[in-house]
Formats: sequence, structure tokens, C-alpha cells
Amino acid sequence: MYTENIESLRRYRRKPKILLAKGGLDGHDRGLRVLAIALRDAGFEVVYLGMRVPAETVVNTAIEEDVDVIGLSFLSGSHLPYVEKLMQLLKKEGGEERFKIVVGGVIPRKDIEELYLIGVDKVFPVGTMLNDIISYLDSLGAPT
Amino acid sequence: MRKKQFYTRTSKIPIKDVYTPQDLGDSWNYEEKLGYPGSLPFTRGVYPTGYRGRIWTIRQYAGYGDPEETNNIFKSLLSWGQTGLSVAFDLPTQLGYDPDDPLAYGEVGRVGVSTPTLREMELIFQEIPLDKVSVSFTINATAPIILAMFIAAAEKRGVPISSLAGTVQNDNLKELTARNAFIFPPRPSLKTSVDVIEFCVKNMPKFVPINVCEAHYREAGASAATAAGLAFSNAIAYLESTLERGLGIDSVAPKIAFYTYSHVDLFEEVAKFRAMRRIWAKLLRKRFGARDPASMALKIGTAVGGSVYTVEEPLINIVRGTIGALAAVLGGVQSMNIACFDEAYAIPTPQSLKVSVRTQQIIAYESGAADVVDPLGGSYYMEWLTDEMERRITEVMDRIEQAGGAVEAIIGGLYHQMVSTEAYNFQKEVEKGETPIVAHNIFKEDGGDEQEIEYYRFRKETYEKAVDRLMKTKQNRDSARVKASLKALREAAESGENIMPYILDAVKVYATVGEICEVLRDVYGEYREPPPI
Repeated sequence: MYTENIESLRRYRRKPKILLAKGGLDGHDRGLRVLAIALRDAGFEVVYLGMRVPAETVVNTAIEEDVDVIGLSFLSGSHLPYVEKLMQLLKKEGGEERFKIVVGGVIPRKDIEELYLIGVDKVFPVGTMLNDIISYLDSLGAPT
Repeated sequence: MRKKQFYTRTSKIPIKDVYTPQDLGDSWNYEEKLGYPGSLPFTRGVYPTGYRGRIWTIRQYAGYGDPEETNNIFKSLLSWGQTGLSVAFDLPTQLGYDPDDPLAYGEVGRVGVSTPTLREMELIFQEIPLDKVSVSFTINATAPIILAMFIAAAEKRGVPISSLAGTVQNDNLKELTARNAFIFPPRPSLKTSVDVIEFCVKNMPKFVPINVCEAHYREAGASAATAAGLAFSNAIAYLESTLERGLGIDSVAPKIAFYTYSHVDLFEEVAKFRAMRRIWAKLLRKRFGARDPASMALKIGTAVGGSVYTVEEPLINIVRGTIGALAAVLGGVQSMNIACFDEAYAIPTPQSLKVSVRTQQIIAYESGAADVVDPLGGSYYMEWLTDEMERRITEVMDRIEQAGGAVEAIIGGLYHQMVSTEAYNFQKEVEKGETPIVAHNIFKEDGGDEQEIEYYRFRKETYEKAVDRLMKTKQNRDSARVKASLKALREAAESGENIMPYILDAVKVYATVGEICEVLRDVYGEYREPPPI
């Protein structure tokens, strides 16, 4: 039933609403800030939570704000423990299918596969072009 | 022509095909603009003989989660001929959380060494001669605590505080606006920085109490000119606030150093270093009334920043590192770190650190770049560009001044706005191909980011070991004395006194970073950064 959200996006061609946050304690927020500006310029609605956001806050805000995509950025290597915890919380809230989970930052190749295994929908490692992220997000809202 | 118009890479200064004496104009005067190395206005460098007496300090930034592992890499670095140490701390240590704090989850020992108490500091420096090796600590919000631990560890080994050489970064204003390892709001952040400066000026003659950073504005996306302008604006705030405590400018200014990044536009970077020295000399003489030339000589540490590196074909980052490092040497800096080629993958391995040390040694001993002082001085292009950088940096300083100075401009969001705008524009230029990056947006190869390199893998035991050690330390300490020291610290913080002596007392009885910061958070409050745009 939680796939309904993404399904409705496809039907109505609405642009997805996106939550952006950095988990853990890392302060490298250049990428996230630049992405936030680019997404707003491209017409997306963005909920920007900033840095040092606990997984609980991400989940609660995603539900309250009724976002479609949770975008997380990591550059300090804490992506696996953080995302594992986030997925557990989402499961508890029954929201694992409701949101698309997108991860960006310094993510070693070996970890990309592991992130996909634990339920991340898309990983954008450093060097990704903004346009590629925008195309991906647009594709979520395009008709099937 | 490849392009209609050429520009410098970050500051976007339009540049011509060739420069002649006409570009400098009739009024260009050697004595006024350059002078001799080691004398005013220090454009050509702060030492008369440049690197002939001694090369810059080779100081790679390093630290692994475990203190013993960090101690080992420090010994390796020294054995490879590195001349100073630079400690990387993990994020919980930088942000004032103990390893067992829920907020530290997943971050303990990731990007540097976990150092919750004096015990870890003792282990990091085991068998390293603290009276001989200078040590740089990249630490800001918790700088008073880390500095206190360093002093206490040295004293326990019989090394007096007055003989310690090194530096703490201690630039909290740039944490609030670029590097982001902040804890407290702007005013108390400035206050703790100044506490450290005052303490060091009075007690540590060989120690540099602050590195005012141009560096992290670069990594956050600002151009060389904007970054330098913001750093000088912050320096003015530190100086003014320190002078309010009754210290003389000529006892404070010689202790202040700058930390910068050097990127890959060789000439833009060299011009920046030269312009920065000239601006500092004028600023100190005219605005602050300094008399001692040592106050006007700007000491610059630098690093080739990892933001210029690509995840594609990581080995080519060694070339980018070499160009940035060459710019720093031609620009006359005093210490250097080169980001390691695996920067886009993980923290460096011992092997990638060694490549950075060797790169510096090749520039120092093989290239000839260190044999003549300011070898680019007198080039029509270099002198024109230095003047242009000076003008642009000064414009940024004026803009901050008009906004009421650094603290007001930070609170008003101007710093974030300036840096984010430039970061966004840079990214757009990269995506349009206007700013070329080899193997990334030009000459890109399919699968170029799949090159297999050995990168550093975090070990999960690091976390458990850190928590175990902390528990043992807590069991063995005198908790009544810890409590009393924290109470005294709270009273000092509430009264506005310099907190350094109280923190020194607290760390000596093994109070933790988390306990000390809990007190300070309570008294000073916490900062939240403004959202983008």
C-alpha cells in the first residue's frame, strides 16, 4: 500500500517532494547545499534539514512532511551504520516502501552494492552531475 | 583560439594573451609593491633567504581511529622525513561527544583519532619527542580541551609548557560558515577562540594559537579571492577581540598564522599568496598600528585541497597535488599538506600518505623551485595578477566591513550566501563544460571511476576499543575531583573568565571531552546553520 505514493506521482506527473539531510556528525555540506539550490531551480519542493540529523528525525519529518524521496549525504564514512538504522526505523513505521531512499557522497564502490542490498534505491557517488540527479528524480514523476 | 575569453580558474579574472610593462603602468613601484624578501610589504616572502636555510614544514594530516594506530603512522611519517605532525581527530572529538554518546553513533574513529580523555592523548604521542617535533592540531570548537590535553600529556613526561611547539587551528568563525564542526553560537565561539589565543600569548612562546583559515571556504566552493577576503575579515574580528583584553598588537599578531588551500591554477594561487602577504602587512601597520615587522609578516600554512580531485582515475590526482604544491612553494608558504590521491574514496592509507610526503620532497630537493626566493617575482603577468588579486580580496573585506564586520555578517547569513552562490555557479560551469576537469567532464572514459585502488577500510573493533578504554579511564579516576573541576569550569564560563586554566585542571583529572562540552553547551548554547538560499 505504501507504493501508492510513487504510483500517484507517475499518474499525475507531479514532481516528487524531496527531503535532504546529512546524517552523522559530518559537516561537508557543499554538495547538499548545491543540490538543494539546483533542485529548487528545477522546480522541486525541498525540505532541507541540514547537518547532524538523527535517523529518527529524518523518518519523522519524512512522514510529517509527506515527502516522496529521502536524500542523504555522507562524506565521513558513516553511511552504512546510519542507513542500516534508518531502514530499521522505516520498517518499524511501515514506511520502507513508501519513500525512495537516495544516498550521495564519498561512498566506496564495495559499499554501493551493500547499500542497494539493505534497501537504498539509488546511490550518487562524488562526481555525479546535478543533471543526472535531476533526471532520476524527474523519472520518478514521469508517467509509466 | 580554444576560447573567446580566458579566465583564472576560481576567481574568474579575465586574462589576456600576453603581459608587458604597460600592464603594470607607470606608477608601478618596486619598493612599494614588492620590496625584498623578509622585509615590508613581504610580497616576496617572510624570510630573506626563502627555503635556502630550511624548507617548509612537511606536515601530512593523519590520524586513525585508534590512538596506537595513529602513533604508528606518526612514527612512519617521521621516518620518511616528514618534519612536523598534524593530527586528524574523529568527529565526536571535534564536536564534544564521548564515544559512547548516542549522537556519536557510527562516527567514532572514522575520520581521525578518537580522543575523549588525556589517556588517548598520552597514547598518540608515546615515544615521540614532544620538545623536538612541532605538532599541528586541526581542532576548533574543542580546541581549548585538546590543547589542554596536549599540555598535560607533555607535562607528565617532564616537557614544560613553554617548550611546546605547534599549533591549534582554533578558527571557530570559519567553522560556523564553511567547515561546520561548530558547537556554540557566533559570539561564544569567538570567545573560546580568543581564550586560547590569550592563554598561548601569555604561556606558550613557541606555540601558534590560531590558524585563520582561507582553506575551508575554498573547499566549500568559494573562489580564491572570496575565500581570502572572508579569512581576513575573520582575522580582524579575532585581533580586535584579543586586543580588548588588554594585550598589545605586537605581542599578539606575530603569533597568528593563516591556513590556506592551493588549487590547480598555478598562477592564480601564487598571486593569491603574494597578495595575501601584502594585504596583511598593510592591515597590521595601518589599521592596527603594529610596529614590529614580525607582526606584519604573514605566515602561511597550506594544503592542496581534495575538492580538486576526481573519483575518476584516482592516480591522476597525484599530478593535481603536485601542481598545487608547486604553486604553494612558488608562493612561499611555511608548511604543507597534500591531500592524498585516494581522497575521493576514503581517508588515506599509509601508502597514499607516503606519496604525498615524497611529492613534497621531490619539489624541495629535485625541482629547483625552492632554490631562489619568489622566482616568479617580476613576471609582468604575475605582478599584474597579484595586484588584481589584492584588489578583489580587499573588495570582499570591504563588503564584510560594511555589513558590520565578521560576526554580524555571519549572523546575517552573508558568508553562507556568498560561498553557496559561488559553489553553485562553479558546479554549473563544470556541468556545461566551461570549467574543464580531465577525466571528469573532458576526456572522460567509460568506467574511469571503476579503477581499483586499495583504499582505507574502517575496522569495527575501533569503536568497541574506544568505548572500553573510556570505561576503564572513568573507573580509575577520582570522580570527586572531576566533579569539582567541572563545577569550577561552569562558574568560570558563566562569569566570562578565560576558561583555559579550568579546562586544564579538568583534563588533568581525566574529565572527558563530552563532560566538558556538556557544561559549555549549557552555558553558551548551540548553533544551527542557516538553510541554503
